[in-house]
Amino acid sequence: MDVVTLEAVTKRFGSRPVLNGIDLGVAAGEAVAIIGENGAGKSTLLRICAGLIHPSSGTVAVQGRVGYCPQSAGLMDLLRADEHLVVFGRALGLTKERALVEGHALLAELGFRDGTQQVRHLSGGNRQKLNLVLALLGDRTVLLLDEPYQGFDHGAYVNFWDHVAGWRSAGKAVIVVTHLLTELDRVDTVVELFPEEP
Amino acid sequence: MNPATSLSRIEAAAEMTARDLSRRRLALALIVALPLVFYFFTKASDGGTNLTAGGIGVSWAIGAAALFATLDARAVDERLVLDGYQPRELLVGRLVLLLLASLVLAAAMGGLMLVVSRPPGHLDLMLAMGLVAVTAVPLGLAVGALVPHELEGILLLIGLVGLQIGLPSSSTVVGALPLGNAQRLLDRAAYNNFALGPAVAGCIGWALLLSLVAVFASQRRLEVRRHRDGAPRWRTGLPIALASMASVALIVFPLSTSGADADSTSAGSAAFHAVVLRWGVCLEFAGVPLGDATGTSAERNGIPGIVITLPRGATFFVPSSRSRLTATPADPATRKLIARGESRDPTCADGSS
Repeated sequence: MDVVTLEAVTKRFGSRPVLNGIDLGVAAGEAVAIIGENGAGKSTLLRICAGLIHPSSGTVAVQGRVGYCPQSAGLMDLLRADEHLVVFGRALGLTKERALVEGHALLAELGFRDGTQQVRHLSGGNRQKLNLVLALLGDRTVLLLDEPYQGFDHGAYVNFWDHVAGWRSAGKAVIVVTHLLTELDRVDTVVELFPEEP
Repeated sequence: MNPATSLSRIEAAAEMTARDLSRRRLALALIVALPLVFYFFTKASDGGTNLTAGGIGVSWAIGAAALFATLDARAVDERLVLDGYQPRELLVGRLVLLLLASLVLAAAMGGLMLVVSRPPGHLDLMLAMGLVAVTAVPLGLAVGALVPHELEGILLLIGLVGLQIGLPSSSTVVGALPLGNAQRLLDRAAYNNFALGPAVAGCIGWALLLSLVAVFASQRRLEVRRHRDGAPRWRTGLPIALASMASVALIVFPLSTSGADADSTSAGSAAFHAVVLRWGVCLEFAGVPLGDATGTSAERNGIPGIVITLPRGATFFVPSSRSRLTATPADPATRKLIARGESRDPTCADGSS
């Protein structure tokens, strides 16, 4: 059964068409890669799935809790990584202790172990790891990941695709926006978007 | 919605704002310094009591802090709402934290102005400063929720504050501005020239209205389409409508009453400026310091106005019924003081020409 269903979804920004008649179904335990050149509407499609943008027409149905990892990390520069875990955990109904334990475990899996630093002092890669972990925190059914590996070193990048396989095995629906075509054999479906003509 | 969970999310939002703000040390220093600069520099330049300058400095600092607290958190707010926060929970958490911090700042600044300027209306001053905080926080939050970028927000705040600085408190325009009623209360603390009730009602009305605007604008900006349920999440239409009507009524009430009061009694600070312009040089030659003025509403020969009292008992009457404010010595002792000044410099009375 599909946990993410898009039917005839279109999106226009003013007079500029971005998406036109997109149909997509993603089942639990399925990984989908969305590829396409710049301006093809990949991030827009993901934001529509997340509910952050309304489609101009068409229907979207998403079952379960969504974890969304934006392309540019939506973080507070002056808060520590641990403080992000607590604030986001509260949204998910997690206690402070639970959010920290779960968050630390997820960060450690990505090779990031110091949650006491303020975000402004983190490297680009570690910021992105925190960005990704905030999307994973709690029991998510659907993962919407917009180029989440930007800034990762090679090891962490390879490791990321191992995690995608793990999340898929755990029954999560995973949608990854990516520009890198070398790992497409690690997903079940590849959706290629093309820029719409104005 | 589970109220306990909602409360814990509000608490988390407040804590997030507190941590973020407490780590901006330079910004905190400027928030404290700005009202002091407004107050002391204006006081030094024209010798008035300048409670209004101190109050406007506080409102500007608080409004800007609230504005940037909102703008800086936009990206993270979007994700928090997606994960389960309600936009209004984030807003209320931020509002509560900023309000507490602002009340502390306003109280400290009010206390300082009490000591330095020694205005007659002690309670009026503290009440005015409290209402400055209560109005400036939702003003910053509302502007932050409405504008697309920082530049527009800061220009809007500068515009509002600039209008207040440039116009006398009795102006109808000032009465219609969000912080205008607080300005009138500050004037009242020095000159007892505005009615208390309408000004307080106006402040509360604006605070309520701006809070509602902030709630609506942030709800709209951070709206997340819940694909899975589609259930309406906004079930508070009637209370919101009632609150809106109440806030508008509170704002309109002082506009319809205190305007006449202000016109009939003249503007306190403007009246003091009239004294300084007309007689300032003479008073200096007579050895009368121009600071620490007080004012009271009065009527002379059927003409409404305000009596300005300076140190050493110098008193002046400034009628409010004339288009241009003029100050005249109000008693024989003051006329003697002026004569003493003129004997030392016969041209000193021509300062206003």
